[in-house]
Amino acid sequence: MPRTYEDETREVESSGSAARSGLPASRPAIALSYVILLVGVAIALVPFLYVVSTSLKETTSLFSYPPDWIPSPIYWGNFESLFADHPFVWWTFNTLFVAGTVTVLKLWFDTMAGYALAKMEFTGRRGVALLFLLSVAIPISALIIPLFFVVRYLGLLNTYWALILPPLANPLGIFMARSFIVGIPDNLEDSARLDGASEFTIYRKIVLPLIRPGLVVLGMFTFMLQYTSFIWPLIAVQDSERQVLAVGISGLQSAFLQDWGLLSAAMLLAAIPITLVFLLVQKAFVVNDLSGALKE
Amino acid sequence: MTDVDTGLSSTQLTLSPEEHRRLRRRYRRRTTLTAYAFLGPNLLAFIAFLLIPVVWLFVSTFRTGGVLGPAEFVGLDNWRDTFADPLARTSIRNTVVYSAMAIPAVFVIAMVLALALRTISRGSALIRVALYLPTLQPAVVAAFIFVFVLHPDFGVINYAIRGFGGDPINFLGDTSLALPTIAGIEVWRGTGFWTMMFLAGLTALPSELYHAAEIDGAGAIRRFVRLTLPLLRPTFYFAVIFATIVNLQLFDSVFALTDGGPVNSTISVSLYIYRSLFLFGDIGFGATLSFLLVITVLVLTGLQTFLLRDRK
Amino acid sequence: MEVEFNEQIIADFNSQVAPDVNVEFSTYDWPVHVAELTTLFASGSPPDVQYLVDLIYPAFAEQGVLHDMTDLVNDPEWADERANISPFAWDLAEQQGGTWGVPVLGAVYNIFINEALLEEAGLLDSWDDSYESMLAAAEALTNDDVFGFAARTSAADFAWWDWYPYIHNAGGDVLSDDWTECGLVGQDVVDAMQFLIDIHTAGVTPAIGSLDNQGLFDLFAAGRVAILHHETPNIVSLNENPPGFEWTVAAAPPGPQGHTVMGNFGILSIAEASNNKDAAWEFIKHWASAPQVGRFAEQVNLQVVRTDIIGDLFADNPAMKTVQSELVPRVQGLQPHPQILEALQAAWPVAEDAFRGNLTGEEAIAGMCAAIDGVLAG
Repeated sequence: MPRTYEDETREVESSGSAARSGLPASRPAIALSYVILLVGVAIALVPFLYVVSTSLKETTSLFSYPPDWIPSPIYWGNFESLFADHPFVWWTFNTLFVAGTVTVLKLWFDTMAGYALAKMEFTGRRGVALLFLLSVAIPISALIIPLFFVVRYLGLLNTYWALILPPLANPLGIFMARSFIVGIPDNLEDSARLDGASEFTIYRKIVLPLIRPGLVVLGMFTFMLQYTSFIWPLIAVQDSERQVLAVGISGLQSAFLQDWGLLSAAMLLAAIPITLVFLLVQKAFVVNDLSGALKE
Repeated sequence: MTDVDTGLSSTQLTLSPEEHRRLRRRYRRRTTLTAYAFLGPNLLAFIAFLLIPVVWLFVSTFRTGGVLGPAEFVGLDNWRDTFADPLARTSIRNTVVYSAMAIPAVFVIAMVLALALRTISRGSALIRVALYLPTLQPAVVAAFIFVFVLHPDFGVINYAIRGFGGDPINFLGDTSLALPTIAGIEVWRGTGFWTMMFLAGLTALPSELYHAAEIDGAGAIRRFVRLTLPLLRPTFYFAVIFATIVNLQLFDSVFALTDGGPVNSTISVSLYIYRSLFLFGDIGFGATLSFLLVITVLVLTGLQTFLLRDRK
Repeated sequence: MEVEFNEQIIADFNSQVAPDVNVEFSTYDWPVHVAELTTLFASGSPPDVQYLVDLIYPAFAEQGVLHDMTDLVNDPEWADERANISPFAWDLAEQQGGTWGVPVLGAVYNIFINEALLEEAGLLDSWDDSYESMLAAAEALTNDDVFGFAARTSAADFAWWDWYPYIHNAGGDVLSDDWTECGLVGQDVVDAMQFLIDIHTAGVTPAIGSLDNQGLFDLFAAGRVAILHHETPNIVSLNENPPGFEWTVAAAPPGPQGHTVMGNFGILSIAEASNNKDAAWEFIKHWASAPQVGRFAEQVNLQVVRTDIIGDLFADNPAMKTVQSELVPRVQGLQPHPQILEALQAAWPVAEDAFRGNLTGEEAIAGMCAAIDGVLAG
């Protein structure tokens, strides 16, 4: 029976995990790795302890001398106020909805575009790539005003569309997807073409499964850009209930009075959904590699 | 790609040169159409939400006004003003110096963490989430956190220094420390992302080289430099270009923490553009500065492409 | 919190004045205030009424996006109300041949003093006699735990508010009287700058730039700063969480040519693009009326510019009463030139450098003037 590209893909996936498990690292190497990672995790997380501590205190001032690191008694009022006085649930929903939608759309669009740029010889390829590269170098702060005009012209101000559509234009993701796809050996696709597969089938059945770790990185990157984006949502959306977390939280610092406890509570709660999302995404981060294909 | 004709018309055994060319052209046309179909959704968004704004911005470099009041063409005045502006030069220098500190630092740290993650299996999911958490913080949040971390009395670093009897470090108030401090904060935010990026690159390496990419006893570093790094060249090439573009747009953390100070020691190009456009209403100047940044990006990425080229 | 207070004002407006008008209230995020306003005006459909501070409204007025309210505020039926607002406040709002809003509120940049520390050192009555006595007091009070003096120094914290009174007291200002060139002229101005450099390099302040706005205030609240330049809205915080010592508010000492206080005022403006200018005017009159603006000022500890209600305000808030009765009359505000913010932003890095001991008073003033003239010429 002739081998098909699907067989080959499956082989690539299985050989990856086999090789992974077949080569255990030495004990000292594992120990050293854990030490390094724990230091890294500590540096990443320790700063957040300040936020935890502040969120559980009833105070308008950021620091009290001498420092009371552990709040006593623990004060929950900041969290209560967040839900009672501010559309915090909306902000969270909006952020997850917008960032999730943009991520799904961009994963799809960017990998398609990346595939075209990486694997197809077509007229205007260099031109398109250069245009993308030039535009990506323009700082976002400079583009807000003209982008605002475009979005207003389209009548999208103050809608979810204003938050979802403009980020789709960011070409960084295309370059990232292209860099993952370029590494796939041509003979995999060529054999699929010989079997009569269309480009879309090759994209879907060969390319996408092979770049899965890359897709996770691209997805995380896109999600992160959206989740942290601040100036554009601030400008494009006026309704507080349609606003995203970054802007909503920043708006808690008002012109005249600061409520640090409330601010900290908001930051802390904002971190929870995103952490859950990433714990779920971890499952997709399975090991793939191209070694099987290279051995052919 | 060379066997393409056979694939298209397998019944024909020989082809005349004309037919060959005709088929090649037809194939090329079809590929071009397919390629643009693949690029379609992106191109559409790109034209509407990036190309048109960029063109508007470019036109603005030759005029004044155009946002609140009417626009007026001024020829090359903006370009002359921008090149003559000492603060524009300072902002470009700061931005380049910042990138030269932040990018190598975040790459080394992220690569070490990625190698360590590659070596372990238990707990790796949780560790990855923890490492990624700083990356997910909006700048306002990161700025708030670092007001604590860098505080002369309460900050964790100065707390330790005081504990050992030293003088606290004035991280953001010292003109020579402020920019490195901003770079440090951005490294803190960026490490999670680059760790995932390098981990993906390491994961894609051929299996017989796995052990080379793992932290092991003696000779591990040499194996890493000789074997792993060259194989990671495509990942690195992309990463360097990508990081350059992103870091040269430094804005959020200086905006939130220093507003360019002290004594303009942290003013970045993006911050200066923002000020020109929004605080001073000087659209022409801000637009021109944007294109100066584009030129800087092109020069630097060109240089990197030259340095990272395949030497054989 | 301003949100609640504003909603009260709106509720009163709907119930007492104009039930059919739908008022939507939105707050600005302070650091990006100007960017938001710019895009709102650029959108062609800005809110009908804006609260704008004197630092930024002149640029918007110059670009033609604010409605000239000269006819409205001179309506004979409103003459009594108009007369209740201080002339100095009207001067701030009447520029470029028009009236760009109704002055309502202001923030005063006062000094907070730790009375306990000053009393203990026997300096409570003499510390603010002159610049020299303030510096001497700061030096006498500084020890391992206490800084004698602190002021904001970074542009991010709008540090120039703390710098202004010394310049005004020396007869100088950012712009000359006719606003055509730098106004930082004369030996008194140089001396004032030199004094500020001296006090920042005398080892009596926290390390320059090591603490932001809030950090400095927290240090004062902890009893670790004796004399602090700050702003009145923080009086709320001291009243709500009383520190363990007596404190009060004060002005900077008198200078050779005056004894001024810096203040920064806000006006209620109508957008030129507004389709509801009549309703907007009704709303402004309501907002600026004695009961509404008085209540708002008391809640957020800002100053009013109406002379008729000063006596009734802040009955149980002695610090604010002092500010309103003793400091506000001394206020010399900024020059509402369209490029005032740009001039301050351009000149401030020179002052920052000087406060770090890198420039003399004379060099600093020369550098600041070069930056200011550069902005005016550009």
